[in-house]
Amino acid sequence: MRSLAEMKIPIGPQHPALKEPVGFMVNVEGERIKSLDLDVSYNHRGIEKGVEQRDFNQSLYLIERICGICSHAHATNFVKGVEELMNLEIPKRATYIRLIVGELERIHSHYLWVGVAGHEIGFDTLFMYTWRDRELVQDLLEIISGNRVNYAINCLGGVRRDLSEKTINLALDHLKKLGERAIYYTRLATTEETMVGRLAGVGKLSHEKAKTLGSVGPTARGSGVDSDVRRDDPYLAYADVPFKVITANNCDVLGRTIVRAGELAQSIEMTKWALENLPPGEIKKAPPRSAPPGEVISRYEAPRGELVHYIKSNNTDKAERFGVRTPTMANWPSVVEGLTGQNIADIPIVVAAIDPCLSCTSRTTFVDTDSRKSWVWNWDELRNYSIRWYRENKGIYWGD
Amino acid sequence: MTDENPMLAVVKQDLGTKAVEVTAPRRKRITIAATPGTYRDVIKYLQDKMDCYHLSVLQGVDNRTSFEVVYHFWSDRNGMFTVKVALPHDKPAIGTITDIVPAAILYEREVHDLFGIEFPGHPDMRRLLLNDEWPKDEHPLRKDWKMDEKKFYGGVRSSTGGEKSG
Repeated sequence: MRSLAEMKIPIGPQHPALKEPVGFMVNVEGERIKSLDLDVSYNHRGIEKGVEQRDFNQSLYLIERICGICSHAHATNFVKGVEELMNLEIPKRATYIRLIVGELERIHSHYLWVGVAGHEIGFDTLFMYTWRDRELVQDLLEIISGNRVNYAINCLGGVRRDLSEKTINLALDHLKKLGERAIYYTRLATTEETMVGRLAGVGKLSHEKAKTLGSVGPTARGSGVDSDVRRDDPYLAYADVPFKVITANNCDVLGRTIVRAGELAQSIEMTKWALENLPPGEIKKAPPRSAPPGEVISRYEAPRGELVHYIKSNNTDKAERFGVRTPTMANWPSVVEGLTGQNIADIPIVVAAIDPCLSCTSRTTFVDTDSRKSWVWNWDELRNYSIRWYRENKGIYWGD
Repeated sequence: MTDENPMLAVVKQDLGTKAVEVTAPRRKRITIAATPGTYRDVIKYLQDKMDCYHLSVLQGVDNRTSFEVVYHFWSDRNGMFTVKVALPHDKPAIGTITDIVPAAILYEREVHDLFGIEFPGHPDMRRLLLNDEWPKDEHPLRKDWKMDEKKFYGGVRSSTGGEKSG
């Protein structure tokens, strides 16, 4: 029998399904992935340098725009770091409002992810259900902050807008509906046969590997790493709010799905609790203009995992150094680990499983090094191939 | 400060002369200043004794007269440990830690890219964040770095470089 030729498959850098571009070079032998290399250089915007040249207030607007989906995570992490440098304690009501917006952001982000994951495996009904439900959260965020994305609810020393009684009641009403849906999605993720068939055993990441490769967030918790910044290093009002850290020991994409579905329900309960127990009082304090020399490591549990900002101040109104480590960066090594030894058909769902804040792996060129034959696939074709492969080989299909 | 870090005394005693300075800015935060000769021992100590399984990030800092590489390690039990190593401003280099901390692989590439700090022993020191057309010796996060448009993309964006709008 002729042995299979080794092939190199470049995927990306455009990827219309998700945000931010990334390029993969996949080495395959037949259907099996032998190794994987990635290129994340397509979206460097120099924000760290930009922050060094702007004062704290101006920086906040820039930092809000690091990411579209977890903009509140970045902005909150930055302001709470700067407030720590300034030794400024903000009003309790402001910490609660920040928490409420933060948890709503997590809810919309996880709904978005469940939808995208459903789409990648050919379960488009799920995509439509979750994105319809996500609109409720988006509406709420718009009512609370005035914006659907880049909420800009934070300002140095507190928050920009207060919550009225009317908004709170509306939010509680929406959250009740969302809670019912979250229970349904949790059941779906854990028991629906075709979904389990597509997700179980795919993108294996052992507990030890998750720890040594520095995975964070649902990716790590799906491999049984019991770690959550909200509980272990509490910030804002997280020390007050009761919640459970969801983990799963499946160590695969199914585990990551179970964790996200569980977190949806937790976040909904947390938001409800915070709305019902919102302390009265001021929502902001006047901040000083400058921060005394010092440095701070600010951590935040973003929807995708631990987000780290390193801020160094120099007694002026500007940061001396501002460093960002996003959760997606920390999770790349786990994608490489999870895809090695898997099928080409698993690429879409394993890449989607870390919920990468990246976009656009649009053009895939398949090159057969033996016959010098090459062909091009875009992400949609790769996804269709993946769905077809599972239908023909495993009998998993949702129908047209 | 009121919330003293109980780990401070323990870490100080255990590290002895290996650390230049140990401080605790607040609860769950300890900063250790180490030297290029001792930082590996300090990191191993954190891994073995302080239960630091997670490297949150490692970052570069330009202090104008020197560079600093800053490692942030997290332990669920003991909080965040920051290890700082000062490096000379002229040809900064520090041995890789990817052999003891595999998670550092991308972060070291990032610092190399943006600060021009070398990490001898790193298995794959290619560019990470800057694009392929970026000139080799331009490290944008250095404080003395200035954008010289003539060096970039064949000079098409410089005011004297030919490209005209409209």
